[in-house]
Amino acid sequence: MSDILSTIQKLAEAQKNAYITKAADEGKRILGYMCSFVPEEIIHAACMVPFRMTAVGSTETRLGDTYYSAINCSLVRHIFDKALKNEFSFLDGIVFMNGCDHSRRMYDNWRDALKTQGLGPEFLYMFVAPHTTMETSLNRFIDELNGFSSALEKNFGVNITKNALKNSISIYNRRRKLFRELNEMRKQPEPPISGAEMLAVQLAMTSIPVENAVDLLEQLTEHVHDRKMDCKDKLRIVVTGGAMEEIDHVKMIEDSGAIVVAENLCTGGRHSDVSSDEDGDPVISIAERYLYKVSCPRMVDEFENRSSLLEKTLKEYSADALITEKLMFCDIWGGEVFLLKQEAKRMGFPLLSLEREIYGGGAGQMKTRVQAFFETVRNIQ
Amino acid sequence: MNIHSSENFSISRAALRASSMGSLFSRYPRALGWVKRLMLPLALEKETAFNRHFRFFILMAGYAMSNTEDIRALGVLSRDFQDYLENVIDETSDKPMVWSEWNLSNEILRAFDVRQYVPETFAVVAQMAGSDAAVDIIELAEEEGMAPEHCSAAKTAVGALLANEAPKPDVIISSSHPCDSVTSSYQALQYMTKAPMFVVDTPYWDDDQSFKHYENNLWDLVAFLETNLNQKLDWDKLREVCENVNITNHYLQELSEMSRAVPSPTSVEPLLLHWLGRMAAFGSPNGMKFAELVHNGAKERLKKKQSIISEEKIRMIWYDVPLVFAPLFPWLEKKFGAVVVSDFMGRIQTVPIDTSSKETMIRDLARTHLYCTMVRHTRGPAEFYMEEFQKIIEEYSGDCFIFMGHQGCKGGWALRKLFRDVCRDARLPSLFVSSDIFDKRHVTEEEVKRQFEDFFRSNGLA
Repeated sequence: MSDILSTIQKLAEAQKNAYITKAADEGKRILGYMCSFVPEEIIHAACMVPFRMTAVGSTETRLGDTYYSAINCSLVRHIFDKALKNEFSFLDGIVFMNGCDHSRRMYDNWRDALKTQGLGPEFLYMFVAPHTTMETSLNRFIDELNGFSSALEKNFGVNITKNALKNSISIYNRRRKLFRELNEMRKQPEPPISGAEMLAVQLAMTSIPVENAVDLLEQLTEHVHDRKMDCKDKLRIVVTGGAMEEIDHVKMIEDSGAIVVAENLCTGGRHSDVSSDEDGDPVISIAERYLYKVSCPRMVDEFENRSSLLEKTLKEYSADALITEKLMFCDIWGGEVFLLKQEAKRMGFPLLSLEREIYGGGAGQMKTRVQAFFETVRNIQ
Repeated sequence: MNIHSSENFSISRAALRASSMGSLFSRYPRALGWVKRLMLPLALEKETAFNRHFRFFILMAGYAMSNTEDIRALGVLSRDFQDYLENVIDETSDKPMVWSEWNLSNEILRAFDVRQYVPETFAVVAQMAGSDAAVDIIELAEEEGMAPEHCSAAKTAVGALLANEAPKPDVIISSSHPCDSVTSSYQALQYMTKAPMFVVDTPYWDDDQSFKHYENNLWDLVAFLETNLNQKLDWDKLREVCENVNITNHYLQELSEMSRAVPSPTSVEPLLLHWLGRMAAFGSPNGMKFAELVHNGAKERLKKKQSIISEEKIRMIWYDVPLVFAPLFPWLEKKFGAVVVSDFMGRIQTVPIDTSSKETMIRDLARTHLYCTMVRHTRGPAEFYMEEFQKIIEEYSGDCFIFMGHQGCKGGWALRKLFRDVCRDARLPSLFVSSDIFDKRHVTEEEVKRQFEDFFRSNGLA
C-alpha cells in the first residue's frame, strides 16, 4: 500500500488523530456529529472543526446498553458506549440530529449522562431537519440553519459572517470536487481505487479538518491517477445503505470476486461529492444542498428521485449488481430496502440484501451469501 | 409485487358484523349488558375456536364498562366504526377514497366529501377476526420483503393492501410522526398504489416556530387536498367538526383527570376505545356522545366515591397499552382488582380550537394534532414523556408502572433507563415487558399474564 493510502487507512481506523490534536492545540474547537445532514460549513465558518463520530475501535456495548435496549441500533449503542467511557472527551460539543429514532435519542441519553455522571461536553445541540422537500420545509430549514449559527455564536463567542460562510462553502466544495474526480475515475473499466480503500478515504476525510482533507485528497488523486486495479473476472458492484465504517466488510465483498465501484452510504458516497451553490445567499445555498441534493430515506417524499439517481449510478458505473447494506433494527433502511427490491425486480437487476450489526461478526456466513450471489450474477450474465 | 387481482375485504366484513351487532344492541343497552355478561366468561381465559370472532370485541370493553350508560356508549361508538367499515368496503361509491395515517388527526378530511381509510386501523380490525388473522396479514408483508422489525401496525397496513383488504386510494396523506417505521411504510404504500401523497412534516420542539411550521403544513395539506380531490374544503363543516372535537376533548380530558380519585371511577379503557374511534371519525356526533356518556357515568361514580370495578386493589400506570393484549384488562380487573388509572395512549391533554375564523381553526388544529396521543410524546425530546410521567406519578396515586414496550417502538425503548430512573426516584415498582401491540408471535398472552402475576406477588401487590 502506498504512503498516502496507508496514511488515510490509519486515519480511518483511528479514534482520534494527529490532525485533530493539532487543531485543538491551535485553539480550534472540535464539534462531533453523526449524520450527514449536519451542515459542516456552518461549524467550519465558526472556526471549529466538524468531526464525524464513529464506532471505530469499539468492541462492546456494555455501558451503552444501560441506556439502550437490544432492539436499538448497534452503531448508536457502540458510539454511546464509547461516550460513556470518555472516548469523546476531546470534543467541545456534539450536534445531534433527528436522523432516526435511535440516534436522536442519544441527545436525551447524553443529557441524562451529563446530569447524572458529568459526561461532557456541555454543549449538546439538537439540529432538526425537515423530512419533506416542500417550500414550507425549505423555509423552516433556513430558519434552523440560522438558529444553529446563533447557538454556536452565543455558546462559543464566535461571529459567523456571510463571508466566512462563503469561504467555508468554497473549501468544502473543493473537497467535494476532489471526491467527484475520484468517483469519475472509478467509472473506468479498471478503477484506480478499490471500494474498501474508498470507504477508508471517506471515513478519514470527515475525521480531520477540511483543509487537511483537501491536501490529502489532492495527493491521493495524483497518486492514483495512473493506477489500475486488477479487475479481471471481477464483478462491478454498487453498495447502498445506511452507516458503514467496517472497511473489512467491503474488503470481504471485493475478495469474493468483485470491485465496489460506487456507494451510496451515510458515511460517505451519498453526499461526499455533492457541492453547494457558491453564488447567492450562503445559508440558502447550504439549505438547498442538504435538503434537495442529498436525499436519504429519512426524506419521505423523495424515493422516486433516489431511485432514479441509483439507476443512473448503476448505468454510469457499468455495475453488474447492487448490494444493500442495512444495520439491524434500522426501520428507515428496512423500508428503503423493501422498495429497492421492488425496483430491482422492475429493472431486472441483481440485488443482494445484507443485514448486519456493526462490528457484529458473522463474516463467514456473510461471505458465503456474497459468494453465492456472485455466482448467480455470473450465471445470468 | 403480488397484489391480488380482486378485492374481497373478508376480514373487514367480519369486523363489520361485530360492529353492527354492537351498534344494534346499543339501542337496547340492557340487552347488550346481558350479552356481554354471558359472553365474558366464555371469552376471558383464552382464545378458542369458539370465541375467536367475538373475544376481542367483548374484552376490548373490559370487565369494567358494564353499567347501562357505559354499554350505551359502546354501542354509540360502534356506529362510527360500522360507518367507517361500510365506507371502506363500499366499492360502488363514487366518492374519492383518502388514506390517512393513524396519527394524523382527520378533522380536515371530514370537511371534504370523501371516504376515508386508516391503513393501520386494519391491525385492530384484524383482531376482530381472531388473533391469527393479524399474524397472517403481517406475515404476508414480511414475505414480500418488509423488515420483520418494522412496527406491526406498519406491516399490517402493507399486508392489508397485499391481501386485498384495503380499498384503492385516490390520495394518501401521512406525516413524519410517530416513528421511522410508520413514515417508512408510507413510502412503500405510495409506491405500491401510485396514489399522490402528501406528508405533513412534524416539528421536534414545542415552541411557537414549531407550531407555526405545522400550521403552514396544514395549509399546504388543504391546498393539496383541494387540488387532488377537485373539491373545496367546506369551512362550515370543519367548524362543526372542530366544535364537536372541543366538546369531546373537554369530556375526555375531565375523564382523564377523574382517574386521580381513589378509588378511580374510571379507567383508561374508554379513553383507548375513543382513541380507536377517533381514527374512524374524529369530531363526529357519535364520538361526542360516547365521550359524554362515559364522562357522565364516571362522574356519577365519582360523586358516590365508587370504583369502576367492584373492589379496587391495585392502581396501575402504563406506558403503552398493547392493543392485542386488550383481553388483559378484564383478567387484571377480575383476578387482581387492578385498574389502569393512566397511560400514554388514551390520556387526553390538549387545547380547545378557536372556531372564529379559518385561520384560528387551522392554527389550533395544528396544536391539537401535536398534542394528540403518541404524537405529543414521540416526536420530541425525552422531556415530552418524562415531565408528563412525573406528573402522572404525583397525581394518580399509582401502585406500579408497567412499561409494556412495543417491539416496533425503537424510540421508546431507547428511553428505558430514563423511565426506570423516574420510577426508582419515585419508589414506584416497575415491570418492563417486551411485547408487540398487534403481533402475538412476539410474546404470548399466557407469558404476559405470568409476568404480571409474578410482578404483583413479588412486590406485595397481590
